[in-house]
Amino acid sequence: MFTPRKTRTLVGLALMVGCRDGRPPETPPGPPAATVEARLPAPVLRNRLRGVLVSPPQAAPDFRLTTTDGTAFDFRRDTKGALALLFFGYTHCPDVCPVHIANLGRVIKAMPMEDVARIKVVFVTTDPARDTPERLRNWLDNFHASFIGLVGTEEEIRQAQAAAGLIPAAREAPDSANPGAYFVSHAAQVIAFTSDGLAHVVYPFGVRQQDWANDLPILARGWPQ
Amino acid sequence: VNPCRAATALMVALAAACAGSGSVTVEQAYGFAPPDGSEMALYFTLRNEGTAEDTLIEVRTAMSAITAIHGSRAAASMMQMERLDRIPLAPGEVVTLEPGGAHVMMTQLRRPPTPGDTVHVALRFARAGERVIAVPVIAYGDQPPPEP
Repeated sequence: MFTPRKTRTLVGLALMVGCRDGRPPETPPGPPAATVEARLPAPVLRNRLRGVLVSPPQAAPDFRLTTTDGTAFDFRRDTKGALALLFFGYTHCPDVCPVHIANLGRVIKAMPMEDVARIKVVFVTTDPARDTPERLRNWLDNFHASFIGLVGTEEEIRQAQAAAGLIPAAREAPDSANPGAYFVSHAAQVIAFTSDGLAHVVYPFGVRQQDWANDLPILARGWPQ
Repeated sequence: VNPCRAATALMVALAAACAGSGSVTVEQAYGFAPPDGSEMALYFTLRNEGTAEDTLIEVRTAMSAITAIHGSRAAASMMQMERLDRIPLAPGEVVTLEPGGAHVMMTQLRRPPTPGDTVHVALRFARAGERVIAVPVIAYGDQPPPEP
């Protein structure tokens, strides 16, 4: 019964002893942090962006889907000159999708209008079987009425994800306790395409509101600064 | 004193002492109001303050027809979700359920809660027995309320 705690304590002590016997603690291989920082592009370094660097920058994907109000949406054409924040997810997701999108919505609501006008948040459903345009619109309106919701056929959505350099989302086996429900595994990063038509940074799940508040005004005002 | 009866009483007392030896506290609970009334996620921190391993084996609430423990996890840049049947707690261990990790998922909500509501949830542990907690409901994007 008491073994797990004792084992952990012993391991902890061994590590502490390892640090105290005169040898420096083992450092991971690779260049020191200062060298890594020196390699960052000047705008990333100067602006202290908190997104994760994409190197080389990724071109905006070329795909066409349909908005929640039924109009055609050409991603490259309809986000040209804007900061386009692209995310693939689904409305029956209770954990990752609404947390990520709500954080983005909160920060955008607090930004000045001239910055907000330069931002287009594009949410593409990865669950077209359940996400009707009405359902997706209603869900997005909880976070920000300006957020663009895109729907399409399973094949069109798969192609859009491939164009964005993502592994296409996959429907998983139904939940045994709730056969009508199923999970959809999907990429969880928001890809930020700046007005130059390139993504220099992405935002994985876990990005906090203060990180968005730091980065969005910089990205919205044009790249590079 | 009937020795046989005394021995039985002692055994019952010992069994009760063993059953009560589990000591798990539940802190920092919160749940997000479902944006469209269909699914709701709950989070909390479990702290096993006992000297024996314990396990969260069941979560129930009158608010939903189905209540399950789920885990989100990132695998090869994909976020996946899976059903967890139980959450083991080693002695002294602290397990925090948080967005992007383990959570309690309530589906088929009888009455979708809104921010400001409180949901009562029963957590059943293998040793510590049942704990009923009051979970404040907040909006997505809000920070969890500080522990009173």
